[in-house]
Amino acid sequence: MIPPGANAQDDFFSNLEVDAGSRTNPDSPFSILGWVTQEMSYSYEQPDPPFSRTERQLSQIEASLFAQFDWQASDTLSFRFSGKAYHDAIYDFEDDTPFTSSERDLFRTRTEVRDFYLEKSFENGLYLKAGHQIQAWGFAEYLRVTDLINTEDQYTFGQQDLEDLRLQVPAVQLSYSIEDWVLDGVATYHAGYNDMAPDGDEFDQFIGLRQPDWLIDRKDPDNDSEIFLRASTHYADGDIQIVAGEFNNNQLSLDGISRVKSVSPIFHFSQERMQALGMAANRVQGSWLVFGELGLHRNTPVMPLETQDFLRIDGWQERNRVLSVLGVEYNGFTNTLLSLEVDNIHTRGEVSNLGVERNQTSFGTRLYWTGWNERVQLLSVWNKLADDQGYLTRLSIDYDWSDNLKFGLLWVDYSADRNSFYSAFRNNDMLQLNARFSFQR
Amino acid sequence: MNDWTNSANMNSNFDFAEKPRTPALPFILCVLLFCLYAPAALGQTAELTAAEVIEQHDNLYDGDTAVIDYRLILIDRRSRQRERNLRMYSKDYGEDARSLSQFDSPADIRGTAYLNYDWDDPDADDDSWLYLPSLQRVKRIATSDTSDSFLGSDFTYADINGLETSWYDYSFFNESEVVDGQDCWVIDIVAKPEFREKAEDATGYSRLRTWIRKDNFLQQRAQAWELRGNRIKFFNSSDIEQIDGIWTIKRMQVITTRNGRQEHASVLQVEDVSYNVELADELFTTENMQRGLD
Repeated sequence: MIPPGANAQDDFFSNLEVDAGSRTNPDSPFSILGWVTQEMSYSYEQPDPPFSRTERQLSQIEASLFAQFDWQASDTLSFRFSGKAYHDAIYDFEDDTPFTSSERDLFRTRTEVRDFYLEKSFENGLYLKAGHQIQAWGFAEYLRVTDLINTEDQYTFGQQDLEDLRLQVPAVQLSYSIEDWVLDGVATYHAGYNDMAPDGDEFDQFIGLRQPDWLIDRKDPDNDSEIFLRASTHYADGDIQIVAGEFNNNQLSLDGISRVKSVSPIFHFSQERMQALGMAANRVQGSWLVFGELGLHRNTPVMPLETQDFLRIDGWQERNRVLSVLGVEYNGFTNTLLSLEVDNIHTRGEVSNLGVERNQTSFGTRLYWTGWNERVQLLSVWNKLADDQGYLTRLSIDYDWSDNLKFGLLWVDYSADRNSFYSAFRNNDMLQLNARFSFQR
Repeated sequence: MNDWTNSANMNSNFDFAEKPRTPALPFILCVLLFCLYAPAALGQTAELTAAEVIEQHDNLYDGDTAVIDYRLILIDRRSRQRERNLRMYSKDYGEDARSLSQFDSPADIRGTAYLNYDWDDPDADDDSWLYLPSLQRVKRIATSDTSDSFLGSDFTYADINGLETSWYDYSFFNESEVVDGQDCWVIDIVAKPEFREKAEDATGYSRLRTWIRKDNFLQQRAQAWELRGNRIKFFNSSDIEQIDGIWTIKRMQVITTRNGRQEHASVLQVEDVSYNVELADELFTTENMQRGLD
């Protein structure tokens, strides 16, 4: 064997020396994997008060540990447990730090249970998955028409890692195959709502209500149970899913305002009970993938116009909405994947007193490129929000130093004019350096 | 052509090219047939045309099912090595085939799975799905540009899947050359004019040269000239043995050179292989990709 780098023609047919390697046993019933990540972010814009951060500054020095444990108890039974722990050292600095106590309490140190479930298959073909889990349905990337089950991490819009987008919920899944169809039923209990940034944080969705003596009340839903059904199959060159569900909206909405005329009004937020029926389909043709979704969402809460105070006191209005998605992916360019998705939300009924257009159209594009034998990965995402509410641009570049060590650079830019609902977040642009060390046994 | 996988049984997993398959025969019958026909075959090898040699190579039996553990090592110009480990299941369904690849390492791709339905009908695209554990979602994918790199290695999907043999003309560069102690035909492969654009799009190569062993029709080595960048790739097989009666290449290597210097290299090693084992149809479903059960 010869070492790499030789020039002679015949040498290129000779065997190269390779390391012995440390291969895990694929038949072992136990496995553990995880990674340690260090992120450092600099926010280079200046949010306006009452956000806690109002200067350009280092905004994150966060270390996190993710670990996942799998146990294959038998051919028909398995368990998984995973969790994540965070510590953000930026909240350790006591001098001249603007952060609120809510931010410190939540973000300085926290732990999360992620997957925690068992899977069991039965001789009659039934499949069961029970516990804290993710159920990612549908094909759309940006608008959730049929992907309704899991809550979202909304601590930081657009900055989350892929594995952090959806949050696990307590659920039971039963699946059964009949001919070419797979029938799924999922029931959840106490799934909660999207994780939202705390008081004063740069992504605090309640920032407009952070007035002295104003109170925010979050009510538990009347019904903590949710049910979802899906039928799915494949056809020539494509897939179809048909989904129905009755569930609590994962996004909080205003249920009403009490003590309106006092100096300390109370804003009551809750999760609206909704129903949905939808379909998702895709089809491949050569290097093209076309996908789409169409769904009806009943009793969706919609914000009234700002001038409609009397309507706001009674909370947001319920409307039926038709959601649609059309997207394409193309991978005909070497080591490159391009995608475009156009989303539309059509609100039925009276809309003149609402804070949305009859049709809200948004779109997103994504480019993913790898180079140097996949040592380098580049991901570019650009979203135009509906009703000219703004844009989000995200660019990440990652470099694999080795199989275990990766370095990355992330840039996220938020654009919105002052009339936009998202204008409060337009100054949260950031630049981040990150490193990840992964391990497994 | 240039079908490494025919020998290492990945052919039945990612087989875009139309390949006739020999029916399954009991091992002992294969041996008997070889004993009966080998002398005649050996006597006839001198009479085979280049195209016939390629056809024999293409028709090598690779098992009706297979479970193979692969170790893929990527070596850059500074000799830094990265490694991927995967297990591949494959099963023939008449002239069609299904395969499931599950990635074992490194940690950030562990659990990733790739499912492929390879249809014999040349007008039918493969059905392919990818399961990403980070999203916990199965995603249908369009046929990759087959000249794309396979898992970041120097093997392309075209190298792994095999080529559409009907697109090419074959001629002997040398009717006998001894390589690693084995007498080989050396055959030049050039796309037919009417298929040139398609062939170049599919492979990224302007031409190829292959060394086919006369004793078992396995590919011993090959050379591929890329369309762009003045790059030439050198393929080499080693550690060849019969497993369950099926010739298996246990080590495949490719070195990418540019202007005569090594740029990058990849080694694909078979760590373990089992042929003709019972594999349930349920294994090759999108539901199974997401589940942690065997």
